[in-house]
Amino acid sequence: MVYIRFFTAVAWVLCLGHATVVSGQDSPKPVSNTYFIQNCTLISRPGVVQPGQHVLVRNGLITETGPNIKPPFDAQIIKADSMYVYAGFIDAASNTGIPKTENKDRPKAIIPGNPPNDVAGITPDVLASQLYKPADKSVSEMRNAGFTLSHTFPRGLMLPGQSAVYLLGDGVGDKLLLSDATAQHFQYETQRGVYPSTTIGVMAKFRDLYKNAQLAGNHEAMYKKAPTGLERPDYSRELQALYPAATGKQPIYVVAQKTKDVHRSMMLQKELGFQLVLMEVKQGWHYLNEIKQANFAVLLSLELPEEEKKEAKKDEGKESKSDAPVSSVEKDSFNLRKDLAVREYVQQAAAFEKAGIEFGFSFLNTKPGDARKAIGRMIKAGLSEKAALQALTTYPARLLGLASVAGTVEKGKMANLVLTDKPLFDEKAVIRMVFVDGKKYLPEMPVAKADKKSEEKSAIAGKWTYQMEAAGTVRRGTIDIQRKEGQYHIVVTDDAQKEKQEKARDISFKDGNLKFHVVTDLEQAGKVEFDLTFKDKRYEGTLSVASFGSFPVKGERQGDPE
Amino acid sequence: MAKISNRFILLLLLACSQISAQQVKKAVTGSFLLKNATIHTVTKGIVVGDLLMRDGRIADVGENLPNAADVTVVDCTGKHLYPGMIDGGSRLGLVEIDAVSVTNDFNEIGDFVPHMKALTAVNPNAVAIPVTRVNGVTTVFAKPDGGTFPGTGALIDLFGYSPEQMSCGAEFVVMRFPSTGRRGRWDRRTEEEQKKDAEKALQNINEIWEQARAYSRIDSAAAAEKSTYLTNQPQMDALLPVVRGKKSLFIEVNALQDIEKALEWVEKNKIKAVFMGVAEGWRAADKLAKAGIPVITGPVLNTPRRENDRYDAAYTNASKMSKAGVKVAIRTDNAENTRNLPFHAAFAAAYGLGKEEALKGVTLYPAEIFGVAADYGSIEKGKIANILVTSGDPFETKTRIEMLFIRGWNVPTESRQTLLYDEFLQRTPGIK
Amino acid sequence: MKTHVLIGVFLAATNVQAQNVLIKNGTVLTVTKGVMDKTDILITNGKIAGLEQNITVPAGYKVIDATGLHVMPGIIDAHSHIALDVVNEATNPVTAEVNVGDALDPMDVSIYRALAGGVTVSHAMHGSANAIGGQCETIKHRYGTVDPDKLRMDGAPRTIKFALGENPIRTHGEGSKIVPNTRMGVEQVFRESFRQAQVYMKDWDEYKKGIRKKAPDYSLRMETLADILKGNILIHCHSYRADEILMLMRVLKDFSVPKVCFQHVNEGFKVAPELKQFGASASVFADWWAYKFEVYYSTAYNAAILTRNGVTTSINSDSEELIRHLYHEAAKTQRYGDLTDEEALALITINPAKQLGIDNQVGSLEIGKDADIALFLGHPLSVYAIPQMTLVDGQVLFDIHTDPDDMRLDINPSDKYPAFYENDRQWHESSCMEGVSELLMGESYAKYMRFRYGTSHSH
Repeated sequence: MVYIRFFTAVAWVLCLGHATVVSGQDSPKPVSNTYFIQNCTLISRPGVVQPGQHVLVRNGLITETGPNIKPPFDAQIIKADSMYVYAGFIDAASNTGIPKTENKDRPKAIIPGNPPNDVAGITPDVLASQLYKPADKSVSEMRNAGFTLSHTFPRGLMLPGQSAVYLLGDGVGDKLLLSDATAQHFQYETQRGVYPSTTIGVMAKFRDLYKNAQLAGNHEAMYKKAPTGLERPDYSRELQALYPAATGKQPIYVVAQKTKDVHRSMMLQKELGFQLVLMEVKQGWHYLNEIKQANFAVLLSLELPEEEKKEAKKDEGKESKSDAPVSSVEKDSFNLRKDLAVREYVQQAAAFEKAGIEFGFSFLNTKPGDARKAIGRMIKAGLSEKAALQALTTYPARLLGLASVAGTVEKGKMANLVLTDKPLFDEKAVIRMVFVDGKKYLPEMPVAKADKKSEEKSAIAGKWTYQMEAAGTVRRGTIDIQRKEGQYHIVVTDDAQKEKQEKARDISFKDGNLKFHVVTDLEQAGKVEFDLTFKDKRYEGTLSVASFGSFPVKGERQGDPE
Repeated sequence: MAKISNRFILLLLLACSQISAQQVKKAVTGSFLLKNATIHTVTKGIVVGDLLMRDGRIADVGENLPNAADVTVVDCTGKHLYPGMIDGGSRLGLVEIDAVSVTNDFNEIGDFVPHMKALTAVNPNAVAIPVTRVNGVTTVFAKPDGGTFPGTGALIDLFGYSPEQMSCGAEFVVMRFPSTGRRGRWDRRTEEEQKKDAEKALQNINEIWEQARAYSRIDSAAAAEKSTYLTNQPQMDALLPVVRGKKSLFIEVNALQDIEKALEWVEKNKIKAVFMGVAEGWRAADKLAKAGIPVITGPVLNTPRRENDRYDAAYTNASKMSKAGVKVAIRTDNAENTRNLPFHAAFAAAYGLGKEEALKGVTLYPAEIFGVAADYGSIEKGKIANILVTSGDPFETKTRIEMLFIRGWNVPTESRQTLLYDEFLQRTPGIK
Repeated sequence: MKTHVLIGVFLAATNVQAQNVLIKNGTVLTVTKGVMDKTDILITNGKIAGLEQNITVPAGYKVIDATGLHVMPGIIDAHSHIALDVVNEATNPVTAEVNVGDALDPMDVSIYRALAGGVTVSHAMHGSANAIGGQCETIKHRYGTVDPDKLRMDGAPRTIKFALGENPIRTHGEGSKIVPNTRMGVEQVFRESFRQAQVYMKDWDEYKKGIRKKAPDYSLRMETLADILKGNILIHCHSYRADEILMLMRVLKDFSVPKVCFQHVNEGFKVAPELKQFGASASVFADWWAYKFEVYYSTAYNAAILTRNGVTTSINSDSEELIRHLYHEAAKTQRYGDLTDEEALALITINPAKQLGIDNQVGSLEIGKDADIALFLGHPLSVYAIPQMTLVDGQVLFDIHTDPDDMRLDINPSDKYPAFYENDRQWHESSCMEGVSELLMGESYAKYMRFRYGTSHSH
């Protein structure tokens, strides 16, 4: 049994080429909208891990999950024996899909004390849904990192505008919109040189706008009822846009990175009474009690300070001139305090969990691809994996009012799924597949940069044969290694199926040791890893397929080195 | 209470009317015998006795000095005599009003202008000069500031009507060593950029130095052949005495890394150097002592330069350097408030330097550093008569400087600030 | 290791609320009630509860031996800009709506450095770029907390910054080509603003009475100005020249604003009788002058002349440097004008307390007042005095013997090492004009930058 499964796995990688390949640019449309994810480890919601589960996806919905369901005839079967299936991640706040605009210089003629609202960064009327571009690189970046929904805000300064929630598919933007004018966005960022140009100016202006939005909205309502004898309401698109937030009907997401920003934001909330969501919080641990008592929503930043690289032992005792501006004793005590400071930042998420405060993450300043690394550091610092997964799924679902349709893998919810080859928070886990709205996406693997030190002319460049033995079967083919612009390009071709060429990924070559893998896109997605050691004109090594084990492979050079 | 204040005001009125009846007070010279004073000689301890001034110099110091006919005798019983204080670095006389740029004469255009002479621009009638000297500061090193080689500073006495009358005959080229520090909170350069800027500046200095040495060689060769090397190189001419080791180069340097770099540079180029500022000298005290480079430090009344430094880092700096064996003079690095020199010295004294070393730091040591110890820095026979007659310790805030002698001139202890006091303490007319 | 252990202790200590302390056997300079030798101060729950000789130590009280030390009330600085993230909203000549209290920085190490100079209270002010600047915050130097609210002094009245003369003229007239470009313009900015506020109050009044149905626009700026007119906010006005000082008093009289404290007020000595008559107070530098034209005709005898003319006078710092030795600044009035010890000490204690409206709580050592106390080795008016210990609400927040060197509260986790600042030249008013862009600052600032750092930074 094992033998057959293994053979299948290897075989389709190398010979029985399928119509869809990763690198294929003209992907045909899927033959069916029904998928049967077979025999996976299902994490239906944070903390619930069940092996041997199947998930049936049909027409964008999760229609069934469980150990005993059968695949319908029209289902494309995804063999997920070694896979972990999670609910698609939800980005609780970001600028996903909003193209960056050039910073405009402020017009010279403007009186600094009274600029037009848009110059001052006051654009609460701007809607993210007017700006969202599904083809923007940030969308695929999010999706590749496992995110299936983004809560995205316009870019800007003090009041950049209102957010929208999008499914991170690649179709027409409007069709992917789940929720429009979801929240207002406020930050202490200013246009320098015009009012308000400072934090204190921004806060004063915010108070003014907030109260005037209330007054204007109330008057307008009164006017609508009985206009006769009433002064006409002044039209202001900004105040009109702020009315829902100023009457508590729309939350305001406030960027509050440092402890003083957190304090400031809570102070404004207390004064004015709006629905506060703290976002991009980096240093919020001083206010755990206050946040908990007021039940503020919190989105933590994933931008963590770097840990100081410990200096090599050999430098000790040597007086270094330029790097250490002070004596080693002073430097030590400084580093000690610094290390403690870094630790506090990394431990923030754990501190929130310990205090019983649920939270999500926001992505204004973090690349989604770096998220899991940062979360990994938080977990090492005491955050539970359950809380980490909540922050990526159930918490933002609830925050965005989507808990009934997203955030877990349950019957009836949107088919937003993430499939990984190892448990999510395992450092080596790779996201194999992402479902958005029932549509399957394969994340593009990053192309590893070759060791910079190795020369452009590599000793291993050229054509090589290969011969592998698996369970008594021998297969042969060629490996073509090229090096261009500091990077390796490797193509694997099986003799029995020469028209199918597999491109290698994650290539590294160091000290005669070449590693790469080939990814497949078939029913049983998986990665075939090569680990080869070169010596002169020959190499030997292993070939491994996830969970099946390793098998010997060897080969020799064809022709002359390039 | 009302009675007392009335009487007080009456007294004041009397005093004021006396003053207003007088003509402008002028300095007078001649021979003065200051009798029975407590004399703080700086070099020879504290003695009670007399001091005779003649021809602008200290003619004698001793007990019961004889009284000659032409001598004005001043009873100084209970009074203290100190040598006039010397500020080792100031812009006094080179600036009238900081923010009015046309009155700023310490910063010429150009990064390499060592030939710009401060003495030329010293305004003998600067309002701040009398304001300064009535606090006991009689001599300052007026220095240009700005670029890497901003010019040549001059040691001047704070009395006289022309730069020539004020000059102490000691002029030195000033250099600002490239700094790796931040220039202010608005300075957003990365650490790398700061370092790079400093390295580039140092490279520039090295090129200048190479040229200067070449110039010196050619100039010497020309002299040896008894011919004149006619050229237009005023900058290089200004550097000649430094290149030839005849004069010290006064180097402004503050951050630890820069001090270390400057020490290397000075050693490599075999330069006689004096370091100025030296804010982080306490972190390099032993190295400075080992190099034997004297230091003019200050302002003492200053904040720590780094966030994590102890609050009193600037107060204790002088003491820490001094204890390591560095010769430490004190400066204000100010212009209009050069008058606060005694207080800078006093804070250094309180925070470890001790009164004696602090007093030397504003008298004898700067005199030595500027090469004028034969004339300045202590109360000794033959030295120039820059003498303070005080009610006590001149560093102590409430002490008054009762009489002031500069080059033997009895200079009135009066300035525009005291005149405004006289005029406005009891303004006439008052409210009506 | 020592460092962070001590910091830990330090932080923990400041969280304790009630403080019970007995300061034994010091020379107590009460400021208002003379000097008391060998006297004990009993502090219960952060307040002064006893002030006499030989108090027995009650159980549970911490004892501080002050034998040989001078004990004075915590020093109060009526003009500073420490503990602030923002000083100037310099974009408009009138910014009454902004409040530096929104930008308090409890982690500013300058607070600790001020404590190390015996200063326990300061008036964190908006800058002087605008004729009507922002509202200010009177803070207690409770260093050790990260919570800005803990700095606020309960019971301190609201204050606001006004500014006359060169700074608003340079910022707006020269900088933005709008009024004020002269001292005439500065006057009209006040008059117009106050009239606008009167109209605003009338409009709202009519709305509230139902005469008008539509609410007028809400304006925090006008609300604040209205509060000034109602006498609910104390004005602290940056000023230098005699003429402009008289101008503001005329304006305030016309609008029936009863109180004003003039800040800097370098030419206050020229109009001391007028100040006295109006009831205005003065907060001055001990000896700063000549850094700009409007302070050229200054005298260090200013504080003495004002005091002798009956004007409530204080000496302030306006500087994170000067704030560390206000005791020395006050002593300068003994060199320049012969003030008595008590008069000189009042300049940095009870008088600034009066100017900030907090003299019922602080500013002297009296029973019932806050236990804000500074202990000195040597008389604080001696130049050799060294502050030993400073208490705020009975908590020891500076101790020369036990505090570690590094007293930062907020460590930037990406700092390689704290940067070295080349700030050797004390740029007067740097803090008053902090945050005003180089462009707006006009010639002098650019010139300064050029002087200091070569041509690359002038604009």
